[in-house]
Amino acid sequence: MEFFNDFIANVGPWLQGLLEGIGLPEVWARVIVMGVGGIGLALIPLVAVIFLIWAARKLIARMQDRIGPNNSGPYPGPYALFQTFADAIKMLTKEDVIPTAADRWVFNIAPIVILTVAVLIWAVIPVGKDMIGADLNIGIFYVLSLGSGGMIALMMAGWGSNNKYALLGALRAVANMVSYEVPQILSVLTVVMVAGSFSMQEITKAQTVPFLFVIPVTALLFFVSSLAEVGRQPYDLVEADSEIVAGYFVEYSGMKFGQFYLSEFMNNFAISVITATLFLGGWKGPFVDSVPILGSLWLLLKSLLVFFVLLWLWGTMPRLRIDQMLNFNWKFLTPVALVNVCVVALVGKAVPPDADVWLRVGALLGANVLLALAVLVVLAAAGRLARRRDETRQAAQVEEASPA
Amino acid sequence: MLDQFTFIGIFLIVALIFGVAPLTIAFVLRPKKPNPRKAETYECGLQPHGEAWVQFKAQYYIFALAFVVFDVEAVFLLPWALAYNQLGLYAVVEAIIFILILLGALVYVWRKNALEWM
Amino acid sequence: MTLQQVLFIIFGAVTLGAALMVVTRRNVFHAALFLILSFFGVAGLYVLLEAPFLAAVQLFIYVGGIAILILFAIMLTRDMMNPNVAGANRQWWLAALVALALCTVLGWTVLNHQWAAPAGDVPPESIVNLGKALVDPAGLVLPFEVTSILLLVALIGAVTIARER
Repeated sequence: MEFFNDFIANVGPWLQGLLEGIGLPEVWARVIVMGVGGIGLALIPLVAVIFLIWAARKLIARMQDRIGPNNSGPYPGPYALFQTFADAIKMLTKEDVIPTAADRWVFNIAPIVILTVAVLIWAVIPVGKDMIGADLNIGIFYVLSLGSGGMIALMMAGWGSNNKYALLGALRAVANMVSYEVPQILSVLTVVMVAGSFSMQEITKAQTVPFLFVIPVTALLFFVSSLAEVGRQPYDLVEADSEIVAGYFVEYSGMKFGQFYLSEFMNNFAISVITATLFLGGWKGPFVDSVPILGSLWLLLKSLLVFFVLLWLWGTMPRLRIDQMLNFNWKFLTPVALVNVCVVALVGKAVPPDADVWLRVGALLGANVLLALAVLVVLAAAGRLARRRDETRQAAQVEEASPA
Repeated sequence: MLDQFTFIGIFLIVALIFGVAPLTIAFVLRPKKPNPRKAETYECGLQPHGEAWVQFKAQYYIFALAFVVFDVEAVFLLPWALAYNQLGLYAVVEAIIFILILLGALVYVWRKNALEWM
Repeated sequence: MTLQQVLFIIFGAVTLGAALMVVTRRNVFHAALFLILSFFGVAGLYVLLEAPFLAAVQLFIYVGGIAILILFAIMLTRDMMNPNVAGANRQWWLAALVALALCTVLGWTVLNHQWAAPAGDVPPESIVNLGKALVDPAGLVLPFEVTSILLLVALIGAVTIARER
């Protein structure tokens, strides 16, 4: 029973002992244990995504007042639980059409790169107390750097298709993703300031109070910019299903398209888990000290909560245009993120370092609320100014147009 | 530390296998009947018209350039943020000067209307 | 041959091989992709030198920023699909001579110099020390602030150049 309390952390040494008992040298035993751990870690997003695609389709359907996949045919199972398997089989057996003038190497490598990058992120996510693939001391920064790999895969897909719509879609998608990385890294900067480390495990352990209640503006900034990074509603324009015929992966068919689709859902789940780790306390929860495997359960519940908020936005909000998205980023999110860093830095130093934890939390929370109010006041003033300018311009036009 | 990167290296190989596996399964399972009509470029069902290049738009480049500038700024602030707990108030003031200069750059670009997507 | 030496040879070969492909490919897009591969190779070398922060910065800025800039510049240029540019022009022998001379000078310097031995283990808190040094009045605070002015100037210059029609 003790073994199962801390199951994942105990399995590693147990397996290693087993392999050394057979007679393998220690180095090979470690490599095999790491390999098995890696396969297990890579299976988490794959298995989760199978469930999440089904959940997404059902929930979005309910939000749009329809039923979604159901068991009206012989295959999808009760409540269409096996719908995703049916989709996967369909994608595996479709013919792979490559356009005539496409660049073969670039065209074929893009889906591989994008899925590899989506899986690589999971190496640094703490799935429980002391359960993590590799506790790098650059944890969260490693995740952000891998996003750049995803962008390159996107450009390769757009270019390799030899299709001007794919190219346009890829350029817009990359211009978008690249712009939204700025508030994302600035908000991560704030979290690192408050937590004192890049390592995701350390950030989780530093959250005696979940950071959502300590630096809420930062949490909002990170969530919003991550949504735009993965291209999820309302920033859906790069893969607007009903509008530009799938944008940069329009020429892909069969499993290559399936890999783009899969990597997109994996990224959605990954940002839910990362938001839960950074801002909701990760694997912390009641009884975690005595039964560490419960940490994984708490992390799962929290990330499902964030994923539900993501789905909620997906089903509810309209799509933004590219110029609205870029304006929102450069004229609103980036200045707010920069000012947020300054405010948190000042307040963090204003409170003496050996003060009570609750005093620090209260001071940071108060500063964040004041910042949010200040931003709203500035927005209201700017809106009023723009409206008044429009009115005077309209009045001037009416005067000119009226017969003299 | 290198020990952890050994895990990252092994995980990279595992991730590559996961990236290539579905494609190989599909390669085995799918039909292969190439047809010149199927292989035409997709243009909403019409014949493809013209070459596959895009009209030059300086805007794409400006956004990427602004990103690089703010990116480098954020990377400079990262070690400062890590050492934040061990630094005094003067370090915060220096970093705020750094941020304010770059906020000025953003305001300049904004006022010159270089952030419009034409 | 320790594992580190093997990895160094692999990463070095990837970096140099990709760099060679960058200058020999006819298709400019392929050349840019090989450049990205060489950036990854350099990041791997940083990891071997126990500087994971620099490796992540390399990926984040070079691959995520500068390579994207290069790709944009390539994609927004006409007629990139079928370049009819010759691989070499008529003064190639002069360029080869200069390159050979440079190579000889560099090689002679590298092989004949007494390189200092590494000063010991990398301290575990290297990023924190870097952070402290960046704002230390006796340290790097002046370059730190001047960098922000440099970035400001770069952005102003780029906007000015791109705006004149």
